[in-house]
Amino acid sequence: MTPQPPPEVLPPDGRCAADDPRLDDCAESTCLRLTGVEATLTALGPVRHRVAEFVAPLRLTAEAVADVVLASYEALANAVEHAYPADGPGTLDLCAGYDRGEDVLTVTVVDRGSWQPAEDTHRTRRGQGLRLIGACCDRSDVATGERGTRIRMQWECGGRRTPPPEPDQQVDQ
Amino acid sequence: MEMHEIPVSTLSLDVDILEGVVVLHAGGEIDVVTAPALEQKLTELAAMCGGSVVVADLLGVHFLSSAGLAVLMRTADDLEGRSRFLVVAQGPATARPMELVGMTESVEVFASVEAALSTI
Repeated sequence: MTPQPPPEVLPPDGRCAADDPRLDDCAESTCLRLTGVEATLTALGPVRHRVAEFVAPLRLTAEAVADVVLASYEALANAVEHAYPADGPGTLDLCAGYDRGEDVLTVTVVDRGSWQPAEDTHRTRRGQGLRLIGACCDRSDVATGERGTRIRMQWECGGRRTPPPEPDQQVDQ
Repeated sequence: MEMHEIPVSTLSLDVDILEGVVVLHAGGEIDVVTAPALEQKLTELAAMCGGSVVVADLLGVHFLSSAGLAVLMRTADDLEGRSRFLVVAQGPATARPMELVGMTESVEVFASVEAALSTI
């Protein structure tokens, strides 16, 4: 095993949503921070499962959960496929934060590469991924700086919740 | 990160051939890791059954990313004019992403294999 350098801090223009001071009760239940994720395709599946676990307590509809998981995955895959040279090392950060006061879920994916301009042949697929991200969330933006790219996605959770279970509900057969 | 206990993405691909109709039952996750296997299988089946119908049954799929959508769209392009390509998908994991990218306008999507086969 080659020793890995410690994860870098996030680039200045790639601030993690979970660093937002409004998330003053950033306990484990409201914030998921995965830093230094290896930028390989096989590393992304486990991250997807972590995002699904994180949003589970928010009681969102199955459709909303699927949207959050898919958009997060597309942002990660986009970074792996486009931020680093094919055989180059790289790491990603994913931060998911739930702002209780605003009832807004924010997922941010940060890479430390530069999107590779030579990869025009992948343009169609990349376009599809970014299109899906846009369709899955309420707001998304991409910020690119010298030290990396940040994709931020937000969901208004109100209106995307499953109804609470009826108290003492009997199941009629 | 301690995520080693979480299994990597898996995709099962089972083929039924009935009276000239090829049905590929996919199960698991179609993402950047597994999409190439799906593409390879669909390419094989498309080459094998010139002139008939290919059905991709995604009811057992619980995650479908843009890499998988691209495979389905390329397969539809590949088969155009020689075979019908029908997709079976339902729910937020599969039918929804297809709707979100507008794929349902160009590819025939059904809620069950029976519904797809009833159109043949």
